[in-house]
Amino acid sequence: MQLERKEQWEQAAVIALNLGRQLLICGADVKRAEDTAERICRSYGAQTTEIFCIGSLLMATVEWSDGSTFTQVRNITRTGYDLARLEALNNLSRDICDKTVTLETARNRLTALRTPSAQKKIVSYLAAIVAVTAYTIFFGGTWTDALVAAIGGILVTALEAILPEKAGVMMRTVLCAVAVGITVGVGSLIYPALQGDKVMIGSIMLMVPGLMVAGSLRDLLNGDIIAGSLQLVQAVLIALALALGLAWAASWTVIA
Amino acid sequence: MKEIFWLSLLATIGTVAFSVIFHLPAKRLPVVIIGSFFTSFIQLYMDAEADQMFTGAMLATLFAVWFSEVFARVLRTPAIVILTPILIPLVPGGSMFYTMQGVLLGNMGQFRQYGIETAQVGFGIAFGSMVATAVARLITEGILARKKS
Repeated sequence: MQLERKEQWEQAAVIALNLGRQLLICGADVKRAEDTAERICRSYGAQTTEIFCIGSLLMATVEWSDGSTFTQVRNITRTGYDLARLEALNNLSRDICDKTVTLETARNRLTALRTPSAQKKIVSYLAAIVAVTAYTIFFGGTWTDALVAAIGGILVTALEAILPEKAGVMMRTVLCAVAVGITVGVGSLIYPALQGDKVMIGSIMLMVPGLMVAGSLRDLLNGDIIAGSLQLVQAVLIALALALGLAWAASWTVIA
Repeated sequence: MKEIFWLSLLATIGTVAFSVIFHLPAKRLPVVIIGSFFTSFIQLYMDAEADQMFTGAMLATLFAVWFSEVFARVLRTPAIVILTPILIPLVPGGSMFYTMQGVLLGNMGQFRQYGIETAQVGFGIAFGSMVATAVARLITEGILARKKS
């Protein structure tokens, strides 16, 4: 009986950590991941829970009623926002805490939720075109600027789909920025009145780490110094990668 | 006022597109559209009328967070699902771009000017989000405590 209970505790803690990890991958903030993992462990009788997250790492030590402890670590690579999956994961965590699902069912549902939400390619491209067009005009561009920006948006979406995750965020960002820079450079040669800066700003809205900067500053103001600093450094590096890619490509195109 | 209305509408269209990119469930789109429009309207209005980037971003974020918190409870979804797309129009894309351009061109004046703008908006969003979340949490805990007693 005791052995069975221990197995159940361990299963609950593993599910809690895996669910926290998936939440972070889908774009949740560190507080939500920590909170969710803690709630699940507590609903299964954890006496104390020490959960620590810094964005790329989720660590938990759980102490059960018989004094035994459980410690595990998860390494996290964030890939972007997947809000549908985030909502589904949240529903699952609620069901686990309310005990409306067995741990076995929860594990199966969690396994199914590891797959990113599917989206038709045409939908991704159309969304990118609309986003880029709207923000180019929002930032003061003309319809011609928006048209060139839309081409940049298509290239960014295509490159993001083609380039492997293993290439790393920085490399992917530089290459996408180079594509936008070349588009602007070529566009300027064909149509000299093109406002290159507006086109670039509109196109890079797909990559700009604005939400990351705001999130990191919020973490810093909340006292999560490590998580905030790491995120801020990453945001600055992405912004620099963007600027470097754009500047290099634009200058090369103009010289050519 | 008319220009602010149109710009808010444009930002909302952009937000809808970003919602698709972020895989927002379709049933959450109407709420996001309303929230996004008013969030960008508040920021643009403050920016144009009072020339206050920090205050504009902060007030817009306060509205966005409370709006998300309320509808998250009504729709039983995490607030972040509604909040993330709503905050997109506040992203200081232009200022960030000109800041980085200033670095690369060695133009310290441009770097300073747009760097400060980016920081003002960034801190406005962060501060607004922190205050709004804290107040929302206090209210929720107060309601829960009253229900228990």
